[in-house]
Amino acid sequence: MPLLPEGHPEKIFREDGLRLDGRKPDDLRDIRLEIGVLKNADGSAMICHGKNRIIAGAYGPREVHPRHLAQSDTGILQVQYRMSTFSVGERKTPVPGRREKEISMVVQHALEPVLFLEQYPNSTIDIFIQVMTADGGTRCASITAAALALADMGIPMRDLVTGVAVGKINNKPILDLADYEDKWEEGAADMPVAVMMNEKKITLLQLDGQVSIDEYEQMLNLALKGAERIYELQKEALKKKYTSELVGGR
Amino acid sequence: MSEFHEEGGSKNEIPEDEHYEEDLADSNTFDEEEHPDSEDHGKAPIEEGPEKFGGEEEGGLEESGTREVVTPGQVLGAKSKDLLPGFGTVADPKGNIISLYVGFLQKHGKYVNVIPFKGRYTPRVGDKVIGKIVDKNVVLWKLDINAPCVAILRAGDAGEGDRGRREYGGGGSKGGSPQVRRRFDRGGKKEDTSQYNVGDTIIAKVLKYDRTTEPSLTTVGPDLGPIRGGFIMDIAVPKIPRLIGKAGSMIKLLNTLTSCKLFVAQNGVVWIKGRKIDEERLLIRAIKKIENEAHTVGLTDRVKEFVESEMKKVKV
Repeated sequence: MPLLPEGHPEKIFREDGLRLDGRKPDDLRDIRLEIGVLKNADGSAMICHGKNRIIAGAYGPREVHPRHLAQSDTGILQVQYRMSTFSVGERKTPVPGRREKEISMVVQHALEPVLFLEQYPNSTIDIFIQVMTADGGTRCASITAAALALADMGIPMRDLVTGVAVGKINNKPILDLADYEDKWEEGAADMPVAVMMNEKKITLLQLDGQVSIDEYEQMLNLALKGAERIYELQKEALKKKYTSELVGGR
Repeated sequence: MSEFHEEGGSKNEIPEDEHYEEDLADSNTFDEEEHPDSEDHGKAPIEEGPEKFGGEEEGGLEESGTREVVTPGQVLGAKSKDLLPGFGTVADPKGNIISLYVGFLQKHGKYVNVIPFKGRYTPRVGDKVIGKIVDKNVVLWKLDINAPCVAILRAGDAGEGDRGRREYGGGGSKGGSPQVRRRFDRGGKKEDTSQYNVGDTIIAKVLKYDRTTEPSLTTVGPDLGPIRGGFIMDIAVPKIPRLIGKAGSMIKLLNTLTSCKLFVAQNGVVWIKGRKIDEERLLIRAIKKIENEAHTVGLTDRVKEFVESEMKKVKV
């Protein structure tokens, strides 16, 4: 028997119009962010986003291995997204699959615009993302955590990157899909978005499903609203970590 | 990216600034008997030098009047004639000054600076660094100096290995015609890499560095050369200035209170060597205390108190 109850609920909205976990369509799940969770990483962060538990560790800038990947005019960002075997209901094979390679690349592309990689030619910045428990929207949560790990590392960044997923179910736009909502098939679409909140620049936008232009705009606005709230949490987490160190020092 | 600006600073003033930090490092000279003048060498420019984050004990932070923690991307104000982006900040296309790091906001004259909490060492010409040899071949060594890439120490830049002493015309080939001597006798410098081995730890100075090539090092100069004995410890690079203290005050304090010798390298490595292991351990604890409390006011006094009370226990 799987540890987490799997399966498809018969309805996706409750009778009072709320979602099955009691959220309104534009509500986020509970998010808790923690900085500096890995002692030996240069920078690290953990995100608890709903039932998601994701740890990101950042290293570098350091020498590139294998050497042929190094570029003499710019540094590179390497991201490894991996799901633990126990992170999902059915055991996941530890072999990195097509999906993990895609998400690694997507996270890398989402984070690159905030870094000044040209400052570190012949070097690499490595980010390792390990999903301990997955509950929908892991790529967005990974981006949120990885941005914090980079900030914790003390590397110059233009901005933080915030990831949030939007979607629609029964043709109704909703924010921050949980796993069971992700798997709903009727009138459904799923759109992960990553934003640099300060300049409102989008660094990741994927779309799975069919939406009209109106729906797309509604969803994007919803995503920006959600990202704004997560961005505040990110800033708060960073400030809290270093302010508490400060108080501890006194 | 942005450069560090001092009060009314222009780009031309930046080298002065570098000097300042280099001189701070100089003031913690290791072999005082051998280089009695190095102390003075360190002092003179410091008094004229501009106030910097690292140098300030009480004054600087108070002056800027802020202990605000900022995050990357945070808008620190609109760029204008009276407000310019300094260290750790950059102006975005809209004309807002944004922070690049998680760190303390600091206003210095017209400039807004952000002093990061963490960070990797970026080599700068003139910095004294402690590195470990990770590779060698016939003409050069490669050193790990905590920088994004390995540093190069060429055999010709390695001196004689005799700390601070460089003899011209001595050693090497004896006899033979003057032509032969000129060809093989390079002023006492050894032209092979037999002096150091992989795994050796040495103090070196950055000779050349631009970010497109690996930094070149030299071991010719006072304090430079191999390290034998003692302890090596790492501390966060942005906290190095605090460990050095204003005009090297913190290092002097630690050196006078304990019988240990202390060398602080700009790349975040500290070498401790003392006569008693207990004192060395105490010094390690004191340095960790400084690192943890680097942002606080009145640190020198507290460290003094701490070391003095602990020294009593060591002696009993």
